[in-house]
Amino acid sequence: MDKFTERVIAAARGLGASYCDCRLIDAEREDMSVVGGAPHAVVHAHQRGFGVRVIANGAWGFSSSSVVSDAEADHIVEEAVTIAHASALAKKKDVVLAPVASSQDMIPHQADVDPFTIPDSEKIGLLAEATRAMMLPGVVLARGQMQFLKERKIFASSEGSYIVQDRVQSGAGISAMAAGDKGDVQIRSYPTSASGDNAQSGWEFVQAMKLLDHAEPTAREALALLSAKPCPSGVKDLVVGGQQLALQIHESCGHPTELDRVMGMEASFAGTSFLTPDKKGSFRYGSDIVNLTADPTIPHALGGLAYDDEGVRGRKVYLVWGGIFEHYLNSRASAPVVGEEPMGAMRADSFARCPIVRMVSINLEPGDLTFEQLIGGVEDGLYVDGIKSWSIDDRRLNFQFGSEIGWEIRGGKLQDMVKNPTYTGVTYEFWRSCDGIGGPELYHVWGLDNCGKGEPMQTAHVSHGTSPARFRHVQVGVLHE
Amino acid sequence: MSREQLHGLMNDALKASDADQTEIVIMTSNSALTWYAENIIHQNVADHTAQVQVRAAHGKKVGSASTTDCSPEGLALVVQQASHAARLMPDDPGFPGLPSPQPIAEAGIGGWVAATAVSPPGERVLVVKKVIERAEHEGLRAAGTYQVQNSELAVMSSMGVAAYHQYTVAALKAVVMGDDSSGYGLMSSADIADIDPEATGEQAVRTAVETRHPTEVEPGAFEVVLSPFAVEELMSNLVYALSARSVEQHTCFLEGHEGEQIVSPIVSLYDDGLDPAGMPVPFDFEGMPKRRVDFLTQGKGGNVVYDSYYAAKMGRTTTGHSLQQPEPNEIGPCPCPYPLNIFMGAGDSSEADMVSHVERGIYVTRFWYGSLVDPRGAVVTGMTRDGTYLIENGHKTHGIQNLRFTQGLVDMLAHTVEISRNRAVLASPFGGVLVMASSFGIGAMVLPSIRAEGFQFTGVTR
Repeated sequence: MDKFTERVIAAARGLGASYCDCRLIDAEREDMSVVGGAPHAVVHAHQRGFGVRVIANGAWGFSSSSVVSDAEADHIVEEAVTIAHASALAKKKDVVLAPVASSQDMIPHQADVDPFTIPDSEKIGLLAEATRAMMLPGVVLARGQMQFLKERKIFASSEGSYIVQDRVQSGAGISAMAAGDKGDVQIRSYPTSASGDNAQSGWEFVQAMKLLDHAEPTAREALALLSAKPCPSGVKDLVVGGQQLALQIHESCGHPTELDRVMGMEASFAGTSFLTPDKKGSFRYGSDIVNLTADPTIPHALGGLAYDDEGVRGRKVYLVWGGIFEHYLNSRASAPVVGEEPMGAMRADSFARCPIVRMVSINLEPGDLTFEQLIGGVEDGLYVDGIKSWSIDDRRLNFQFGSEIGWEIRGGKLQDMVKNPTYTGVTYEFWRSCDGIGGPELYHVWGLDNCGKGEPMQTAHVSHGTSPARFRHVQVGVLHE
Repeated sequence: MSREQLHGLMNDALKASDADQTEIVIMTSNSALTWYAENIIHQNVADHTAQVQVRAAHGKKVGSASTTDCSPEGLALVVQQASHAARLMPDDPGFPGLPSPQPIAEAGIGGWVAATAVSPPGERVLVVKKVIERAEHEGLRAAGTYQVQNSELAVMSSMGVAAYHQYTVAALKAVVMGDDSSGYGLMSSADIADIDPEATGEQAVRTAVETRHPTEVEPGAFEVVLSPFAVEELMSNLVYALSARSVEQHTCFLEGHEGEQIVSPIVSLYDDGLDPAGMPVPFDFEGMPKRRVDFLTQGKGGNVVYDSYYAAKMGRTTTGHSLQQPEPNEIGPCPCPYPLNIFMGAGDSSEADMVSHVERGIYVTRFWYGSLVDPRGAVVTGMTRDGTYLIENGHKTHGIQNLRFTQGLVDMLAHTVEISRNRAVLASPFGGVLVMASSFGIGAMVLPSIRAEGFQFTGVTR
């Protein structure tokens, strides 16, 4: 243990805390964006600080600071303990943590090439070239962005754990917006929307995207969407591409299996969950080919981790096995309530925030169909991909998602392109209608760096392994007028 | 810290910069939040954080850097990093240079209350206990947050800009749940003395009780009465369009309609950072003074907000709406410039009057998870939550299952027929946006209840 965290733990003990952990984090981040070949922003950010979580008088207290000094450590510990005593004024029972083995470990990052050693000019140059290639006539906005993170996180606890974890993340993406008559605006993105794809990898991950090769085809699809027919409306069979399915898993499986949501802890913000404990081990969430995992051990996955922010070693669990809901994402305090073991899902997005239950890598295990077989099994349907809009109710049941692009399927073949495709349904009805999943050759783990949860809101970096999958009798083309 | 301390630190750092132009923005926050659920406090947290953002320019080359280290050494380093980043950048032909100082109307704007700034954790717990006890009395479960924030925003640049604003926020939120119903209450103010836990708890409890045993209503077009909380979720999805950047991207419904009657003549929508009825912020993140911007005046199309970059690009003057939000960033794209102080003009009705005017319709306490489906007409989908009632013959008769809507917001404003005289102040992070690494809430929305015809519900949940 280093002197700083040792001081924090000792001070908390001295003030009567029965438990204390301290996270000391030093993080460097670089974000850059280019619009139409011109640099839009390059931002270098540095964060350093520590957060102290204590249990005193049977209740939680937490405080944090961006000033890392002995005097501030004493102040923050004292405040955390004071807050814990205040919390105890409204407690019904003492906080109980599931026991875990203490760990002393050092986890290296997984990058081959440190992205912070690549000159900004090279990164900007690549984005500039890619966005210029997208500026075809009719394209009004061509954007590209990259983001990199390098972090050292030290976790120390009063139970004897001392874990140093290094992490490097890289991500990038490009998008083209085309505008047509009457205000029609269409967007296509590569490799996926928002900040693109992200992983616990180095510069090699960005290079492998081959942004230049995909720039012009991406722009051409945005332009083609302007003259595409509107998405048909009705109940149809639906093949969902891997990018879109990542969002579907995120919203309809990842969030509802967060045990803190289930226990009502998120009720005042994002809501609760339909996956109540009485359903555990018996509720048919999906068809029997649906196997969904929470797996923090996948190499390079953005949601991967060796240890969570409670010092729990991450391990793979089946959230859904053979279509049956089996397990939750959990924490040391919540796991015992439903008879589970902690599995490493407690994370905070910075030193200034208290850990909450978060997704790790939530994945749909691949099936055995080729893309042609998935499409070939549809007489009258739709194939959609590319995340565009998303909404789901506060119990994670009724959802409506929009995709960037779609194609009609007739007679087992892809036909005309359609614009503004949407589909809606109820989570378990949708997953129960899944009758085909693409094979391992179609599988990809998508890294999403914008999952919001908690109060104050925290942004988690998560990932989702998907292959395209087929769903029967889905309401598509939601009309609004 | 204080104005003098922050400006002193910033001034020293500016002197050390080797860039042609340098701008420093510092936000400090002493924030505490008590988070409760299932009638217990499950998190009780505090943070003391500074966020420094520096923009440096060498000619048309612009670089940025940020840090949480607010020491003299930390500031010197981040200024140096921004300058270094700028040198590596190609020219940005659109960069107009950092703006020159303009007078800022700070006097009497308020927004900071000492009692809020020093609120201890024990007092927060006692406030929360009042909500919990009210819920327990009805056999219900309370969840929510009580947040108290004491923040500073300081901007200083080598162009002579020197701006400082200190503000406080207290916000109590309650979601009260029964077996098959829930209710909502929220109160926010700069002054902690304005927070009334009994009233907030009572509002949430009453709704949860009244909407017990909800029935299912087939989706379709309904006349609706929307509470200010429901209007807030819709406006949160609309304000992204009210920026110069949205005009540039052709995703602004106001584009080409200035002066035209595009929504109901009873609807006015504007941004006013100086109005003390909201959460005033007298200047933006470039230190430029806030100017009122009218988006819709009696239903006629108006203007959008600008920062110095877009003002120069589009031949306008800045309206004081720069966020200087680094983009890309973890909270997603932000359409800088951005309105932080949204007001909808008050009407002359009350919520009770509105309900009494509906023969068959739906009262919505809250919308949730609004998401833009189509920028044309600002078509948004989302769900109702925490208290959805059927209105029959002028009365809220009973609760109904939550419904999905898919509705064009411009169309909704065109079919708005009644607006309340009372407006709710919905302070950030509930009503505004989170800026600078999502740590610092600033701004607010001030919104009434509205009655609108033909609102499109497109689905129902289980």
